[in-house]
Parts: sequence; C-alpha cells; structure tokens
Amino acid sequence: MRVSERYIYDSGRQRLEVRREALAKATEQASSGLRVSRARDDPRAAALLVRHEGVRARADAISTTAGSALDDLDAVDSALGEASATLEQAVSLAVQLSNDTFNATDRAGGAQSASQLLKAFVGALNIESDGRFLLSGTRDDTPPFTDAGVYQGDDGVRRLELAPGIVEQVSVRADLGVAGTGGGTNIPAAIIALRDALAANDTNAIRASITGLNDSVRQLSSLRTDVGARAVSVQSARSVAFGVKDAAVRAAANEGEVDIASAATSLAEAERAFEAATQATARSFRLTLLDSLR
Amino acid sequence: MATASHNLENASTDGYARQRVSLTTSPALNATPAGSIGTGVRVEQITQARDRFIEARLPGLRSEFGFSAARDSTLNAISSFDSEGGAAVATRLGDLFASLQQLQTRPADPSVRRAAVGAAADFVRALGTASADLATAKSSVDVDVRARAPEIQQLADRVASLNNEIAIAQGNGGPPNDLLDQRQVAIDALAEQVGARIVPGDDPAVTLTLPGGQPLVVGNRAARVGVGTASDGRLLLSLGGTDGAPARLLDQRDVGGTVGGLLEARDVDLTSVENELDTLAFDVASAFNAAHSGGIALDGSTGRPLFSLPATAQGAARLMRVEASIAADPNLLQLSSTGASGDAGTLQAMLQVRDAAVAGATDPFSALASITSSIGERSRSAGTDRLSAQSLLNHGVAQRDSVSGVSIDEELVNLQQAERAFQAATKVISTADQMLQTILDLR
Repeated sequence: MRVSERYIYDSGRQRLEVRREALAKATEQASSGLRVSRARDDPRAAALLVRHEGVRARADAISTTAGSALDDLDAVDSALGEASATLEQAVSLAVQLSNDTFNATDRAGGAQSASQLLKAFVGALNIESDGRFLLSGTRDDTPPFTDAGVYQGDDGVRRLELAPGIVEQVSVRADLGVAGTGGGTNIPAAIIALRDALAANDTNAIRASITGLNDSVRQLSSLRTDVGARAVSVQSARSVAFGVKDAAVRAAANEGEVDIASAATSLAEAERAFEAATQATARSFRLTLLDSLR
Repeated sequence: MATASHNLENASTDGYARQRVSLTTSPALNATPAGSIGTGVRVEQITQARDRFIEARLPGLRSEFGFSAARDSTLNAISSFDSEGGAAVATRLGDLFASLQQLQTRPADPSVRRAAVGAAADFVRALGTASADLATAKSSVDVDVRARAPEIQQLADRVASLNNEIAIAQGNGGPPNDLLDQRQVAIDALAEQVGARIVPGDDPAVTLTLPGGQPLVVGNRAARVGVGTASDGRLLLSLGGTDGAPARLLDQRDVGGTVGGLLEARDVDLTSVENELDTLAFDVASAFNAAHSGGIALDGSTGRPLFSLPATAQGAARLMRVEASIAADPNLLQLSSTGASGDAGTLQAMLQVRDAAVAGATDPFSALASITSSIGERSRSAGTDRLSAQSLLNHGVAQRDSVSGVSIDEELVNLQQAERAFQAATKVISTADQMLQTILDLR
C-alpha cells in the first residue's frame, strides 16, 4: 500500500488515541476500585447491582426491625417476670393467711398487702417503650390495665416481616394471657378475689382463691413461654437477615468491583503499551527523505 | 516542479488529491531524409490521482461514523443510571421500603413517620433527577440540531456553487482540480452531517440526496435547510425543495449522519428509557396509592393517596410528588386498617408493593434493573458501533490516501527528477551557446 504523509500522521494519531483511552480506563479502574462504574461498562452487571441493592436494603430493614421487636419482647418478658414474682407473693399470702391461726386483724393487714400486690401487678404489665404500651394490643396509646385490673386494650397484635414475604406476629396477647378472655383465668380478678376474701376474714374464700392464683401462675408462665418462643423466632430471622445482607454486599462487590491486583497489572500494561506507541509514532515521524537531502 | 511544489504545500490539506503532470513529446518538425526532428516535451494535462470506486464509498462511511458517533456521544452523557448516580433510584427505593418497615413496630411514632415521608420525598427526587437527566440530553440534541442547520445549508450552497464553477471551468478546458477537491470536501462534510449521498451520473455537476431520497443539491441549486417543530413537540430538520417547493419536516428516518444519530438517540433510545422510567414511577406510585387510600390516619381521616400523579404514565417520573398534606403532616399517613394507633394493617399492604408486578417486571427492583440494563446496553452498543464505524472510516480514508495522498518522499524524488531534467536542459542550451560562440569566434 502506498503510504502518504497524511496516513503516517493519521495512523500515529489513531494509535495514540486508542492507547490513551485504554490507559485512562485502566487508571480509572485502578484508582476507583470499580469495574462497573457506568451502566455501559457492563449492562448485565449493572442490572444485577440494582437487584443486589434491593436484597441488601430489605435484609438490612428486616434485621433492624427485628432488633427493635426483640427489644420489645425482652421488655415484655422482664415485665412478665416482675408480674410473676408479684403473683407468687400473692399465692404465699393466700396460703399463709388461710391458716386458722391468724385473726381478722392479720387478715385485714393481708388485704392491704393484696391491694399493694394488685397495684404492683398492674404497674408491671402497663410497661411502656418509646411512648407505646407493649401489652395493649394495637391500642398502644392506652395503658392495658386500669388500677382495678380491668383490661382496656384490644385483641390486635403487632406483625413484622421476618423474611421476604413472611409476616409473623411479634407480640403477645394480654387479653388472653392475663385478662383470661376466651375461657382463661382473669389474673387481676384472682388477686382481687384474694384481697376481698382477706378483707372479709373468710378463710374458705381465701382457700378457694388459692386455686385461681395457682392457675394464674401457670397461665402467666405459659405467656412468658410464648414471649420466649417469639423472641427465638425473631432472633433467628435477624441472624438470617444479617447473612443475607452480607451475601448481597459480597455479590455486589464481586460484580461491580475490580480485583486490585489485576487492576494494577492492567494499569502497568496499559502504561507500557502507551509508551511503546509514543516511541513508535515518534520514530515514524522522523523517518523522511527530507532530512537526508542536501 | 510547480506541480510537485503544489503537492508538497498541500500535503496536509484536507481533501487534497495529489496532482500529476502528464508529459508528452511535442509534435515533431517536418520530416527530413534522416527522420523527424523532435521538438521536446510539453505538458499534456495536469490530472488528479483519484480512485472513483474508493471515493464513492467514503460518503457512506462518513455518514455511518457521524451517525454512530452522535448517538454514542448523546447516550454517553446519561449518568443517572450509573453506580454512583442512578443506583440512587434503587437506593432511594430501598430506603423508602426500609423506612416503611420501621413503622411496623411503631406506626404512631412521629419521628419514624417523618423519616418515612422524607424517604418517599427522596425517592420522588431521585426519579425526578433521572428524568431530568434524560430530558437534558434530549434538549441538548435540539440545541445541536438547531446549530447544525445553518452549517448544513452553507455546505449545500457551497456544493451548488462549486458545481457551477466546475462546469464553467471545464467549459474553458482542463480539469479544475482544486475546485474538485473543494467540492469533495464539502460533500464529505455533508455526508457526515446528514448522510448525503451522491446520485451516480455522467453530469460533472454532482447531485446529492438525503437517505430518504429528498434532493439536497441539484446542479447549481441547493435545498433550503432549516428546523421546525412537529405536532408532538419534537424539533426536526426541515427541507425546502431545490425547485423552491415549500419546506417540510423530515422524519428522523429520512436523515443520516450526525443529525440522524442525534435524532435516533433522542427519539428512539432516550424516549424509550424515559417511557420505561415513567411507567415504573406511575405503577409503583399507583400501587402505593391503592393500598394507602383505604387506610386510616392518626386523626381518623382516610381516602388520601400517598403520591400525587398525572392522569397517565407520561411524565410521571418528573411530575410525581408526595401528596402535599402528607408531606406537611406525617400524621396523615394512613397506616392503620382499624384506626388504633398501634395498628399497621394498611402498612402491611403497602409493603407488599415491594413484591408487586410493576412496569412489566416481577417487582419494582427488577423493573429498575431492566431500565438500567436497557440504557447500559444501548449506550454500550452505541460505543461499539462508533468504534466499528471509525475503524471502517479510517480504513477507507487510508485507502483513499494511498491513492490520492501526498507522499513527501515521493514528491521530493519527483522534485529531484525535475531538477535534474532542468539541469540537463540548461546544459543543452549552454552547449548550443558555446557552439554558436565558437562559430562566431572563427576568423
């Protein structure tokens, strides 16, 4: 092929442009650590990065809200523990003062103690967190129990997404487990029954109240077990969500980030290629008859 | 020597085709018994070194390059779907769902409600930014096309004028080489700008048409090139007939070259992505609204949408907003299905939007991934096309230059040859002069 002057300079320019573009790309990848910084770099990977972001964000949200739910369940468990202790005291009081060795004055004092126990019981169950009553169902702006032990919450529960598309209950129902709706034992009423029996100095009634109080202890224990089971479920979901989030972050890094060692190698190669192109181009410009003619 | 000098001076001139002197022996004097006496050399013609076949291919290659380069440049400017910029839409969508998820355990909490409304506003803003990016690219095309119309007109007028000059020069005898070069440069530029094609013919005046067949230059007349607005608001090139017929708007398919590439990018690529984004925005917002409208706010009110939208998907990404009353008062978020402060029944329905089929995809993130892939693939293919077209054009130009280009070394040799010939001729003259002097010195 006949080589013209323009061909020499045009081809030199084109060579340098190609090498310069490759060098710029290698430099950008090595300095940013990103293999896919633009959608056009790898459209398939760019689309996958969007999906991974969706998975990561969802898993992150699940783990965060599960943590919040766990805090609530811990608080409820602690409150139920306090309430259980109070109930045990009520049982002891009933057993003690059902004995015929005690007189009306003793039992009157016992009635006052029972009143205090009722107050402590209700106080424990009216637990709040960030301005929300945790045992009121969905009526969380209202204390679950009045001073007289009457339940004023509802039968609603809090639900939470614990896995993609899986929504589960993360609260317990105090209307069932404490107020005895649906055939259970009304625990505050059992304590009130003891108080009234003590105030009336009625040993038969006192003995009868022990049965109710023992049922109450079992019922409250069952409620605590429910809380524990839900906490385990939520904790498990939280652990899985952490794992999913980490996997999504790793997958995104695999798609979008560059291996630093190979990026450094590519950069060195691009630099060498550019240097070689500049030298070859400079030499081709120097070779001309013009410099040899006198 | 003059021709060699001319070639050397124009070695780097765009479109210059090197010239060659065709020498021939002068007619001999009347024959003598010993034979005819030669009278030396004369210049028969100064011709250009051109390969018509190669040159016929170049306008097409320039048109392809102009088209793909313009399309590549326009799509390359879109950054809102890149990992830093347009994963912003995916990130904001993820944040919106995350903030709604926080509300599950504390639906009445004012700070969590405020964060959720803020996340909704951020998502709307991200969509608006992506939409604006596409709109800016489209309006840049309009500015570019409008600026090119006068340049195209100038080039067409130039070709028409040169057709006339060449015809006159040829009538006066001899090929007007430099005028032919100038016309070829103008034709090449028109090919790159609008995909102008040469209509084959024997007429020395070149006829040019657009890819759609509309005449651009016929003889010494050029069409009137301008811009106009179509009924749908798009800016298009307009062309008046070479015979003075009124201008009419050209469809994007009628034009090639750079202008054709710009219009393809605007009317096909960017419009397609814009429609996909609008559909995503509309479908996601509508799904949220459908769930939200039936919920109950903290004050007991209901029936309010979460997002305000246009009537159709067109422009949804640009126009959608968080409903004004909710933006002002997050307590108006309708998350409950019973009215109880801790109930989040409606919120659960809103969270299901995350798995809802929208915009032709299985879920919003898949739809967004599809859009990202779409713009990425279009941009990448435009880049590949540009490189390919550039390579073909470079090869075509190299082929042309191998025939028509000036080689300084070659011209220097020609110059040396001419110099030697001149020296030899002057030697003949000095020898004849010496001989005459000898005769005159005879006593």
